Amino acid sequence: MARSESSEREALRQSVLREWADAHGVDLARFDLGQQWVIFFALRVVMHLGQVAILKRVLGYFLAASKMDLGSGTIAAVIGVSDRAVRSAQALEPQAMLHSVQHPVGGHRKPKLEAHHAGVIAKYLVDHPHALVQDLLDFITRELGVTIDRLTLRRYIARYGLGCLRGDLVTNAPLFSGEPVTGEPSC
Amino acid sequence: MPVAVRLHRIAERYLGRLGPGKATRLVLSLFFKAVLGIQRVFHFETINDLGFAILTGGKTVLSRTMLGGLVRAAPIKGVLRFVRATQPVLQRSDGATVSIDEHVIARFTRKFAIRKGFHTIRNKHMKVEKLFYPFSVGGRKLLSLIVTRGNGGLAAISQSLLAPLRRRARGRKLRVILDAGAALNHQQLLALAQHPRQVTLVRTPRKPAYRERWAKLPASAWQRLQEPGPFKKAPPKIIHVAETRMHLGSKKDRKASHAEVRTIVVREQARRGKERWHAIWVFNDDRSPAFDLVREFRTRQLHEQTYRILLHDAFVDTAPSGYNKKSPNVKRPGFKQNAITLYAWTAALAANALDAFSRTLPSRFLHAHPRTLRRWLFNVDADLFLGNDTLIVMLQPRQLQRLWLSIVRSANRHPVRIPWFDNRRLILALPKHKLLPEGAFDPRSGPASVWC
Repeated sequence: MARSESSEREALRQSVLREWADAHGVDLARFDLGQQWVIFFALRVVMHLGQVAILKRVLGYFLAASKMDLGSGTIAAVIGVSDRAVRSAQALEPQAMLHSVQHPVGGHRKPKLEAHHAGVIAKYLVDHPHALVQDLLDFITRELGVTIDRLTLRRYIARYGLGCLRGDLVTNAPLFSGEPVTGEPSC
Repeated sequence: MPVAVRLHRIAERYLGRLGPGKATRLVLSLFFKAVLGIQRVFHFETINDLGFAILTGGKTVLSRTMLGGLVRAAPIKGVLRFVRATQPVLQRSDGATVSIDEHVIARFTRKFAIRKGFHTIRNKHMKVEKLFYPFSVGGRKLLSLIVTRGNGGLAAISQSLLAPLRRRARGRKLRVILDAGAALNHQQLLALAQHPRQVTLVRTPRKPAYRERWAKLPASAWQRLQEPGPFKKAPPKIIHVAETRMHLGSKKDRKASHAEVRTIVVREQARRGKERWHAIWVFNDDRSPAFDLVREFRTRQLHEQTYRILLHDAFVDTAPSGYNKKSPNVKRPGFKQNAITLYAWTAALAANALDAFSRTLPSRFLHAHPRTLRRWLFNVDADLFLGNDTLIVMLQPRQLQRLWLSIVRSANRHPVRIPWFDNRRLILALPKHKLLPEGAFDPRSGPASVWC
């Protein structure tokens, strides 16, 4: 009885894994039997979880922490997120993971460049009126420790009225108000 | 800043007769003068600060002559409407306890025969003008303003202040706290206090006859209580509380109103010297325990503290005179309340705004003194950048980096648009800093100032 159930499960495993491997372009031959069973287990759980994204993230975290050498790409394909998301989750401490599950960030990801960085960028543009876009990107990386691409910079600059990107140049840079202002009125 | 934007809108609506943009300049100049602690209009002559100019609605700071002229030119109807429109809401969370008291501004004029009143701090009868502010004890905010000549009485003015306050309380039973100035005339006091939806606590005037009568109370009437001393290791303060009833109003004149009033007498045992006696008349509350009412009455100290802030931090005593200095008749110079009302009310709005701002800060700054806020948070160097649609203010705080970061983030979440500055968005920015441990330090390296 148990033997026949086991064979049925084996057949099911093979069919599910083959279907999944074909869909995601994964070579099943590179996994040993134990790994294949873990992937099968994960696929069945994901199927059960449906649209509950947080639990799928938790499952991905467990798979990554199991040290089964599945690889972040495989785990990402199993739970349906990006490779990078798996690696980010993998880097978290259990407490941090628990916190992120309890307090999920809603909406957009927090931007790398925040509004309060606008002053530093404005000052750079005022001090370097003929700065190239690449110079500004380098300055942001150097000064603020943030690496952004040209499109993100373009959006940021437009949002805070810091000018606009034309070719290699930043044009319409902000006007400097004059002398640094003292907080205390001179009375 | 949102408060300033709201003031701009209301000022343009009610004081627009002054000319395009002038109402904004006037009101914002007075408001930020009080917020930043500029002592007199006179000092506007020497302020050369672009940030302050932008705050007050222009590219340069108003001259003292211009500001003084605008204050005096403000139409009285517009000023009173402005006061009414900017009165804070008496919220349910603020409770229903309202203190009403007067603040007296001394006027040193020999030329004009203006009315005299008693100046409590100077302890003398002199030429004065009076400001009457009702104060919400729970909300710690000044609610309204009436300005009078020096002979204005607290009871009479309180009566005219209480009618709109009852409406603003939306049916709640008001608990009114009044100082002894309201008890000078028993008829006026009874007219004021005998309202069905109002409990009134009034300090009993100090009179030798009253004191002799209270001394005759039997020993069994007194309840001995202990209170914490004035400082940590001080011995507890012993006070004795007794209840009695006193007759107010004339017994001879039957037509005049009179009443038997619950009186709570407090005898404070002094560490040395005489005992200190004081009493409170309680109207429309026979149930509350006596000592609870004493403690409730003591909350009017918050009102006195706000007057202290108005006087020494918002410099309300430098308000323009109410009497007409250009009057040809020096015996009866008349009384123009527009300038003094506008000046004193914007100072009150500034005091309210500073207290409200302190509530948004960490607990160490809760109800902080204005000078503390100025020293730590307002007197900060900054660079200004004009973007296409933005005014970027790069602050250069030297300490409290974490607090600044949270303030800046919260301000940038919904940036304020500055209507008088091409409707630009105000973006606060910070330079790149390492977060340092935040210990106690003197945030200013400039000239020494008063620490509070």
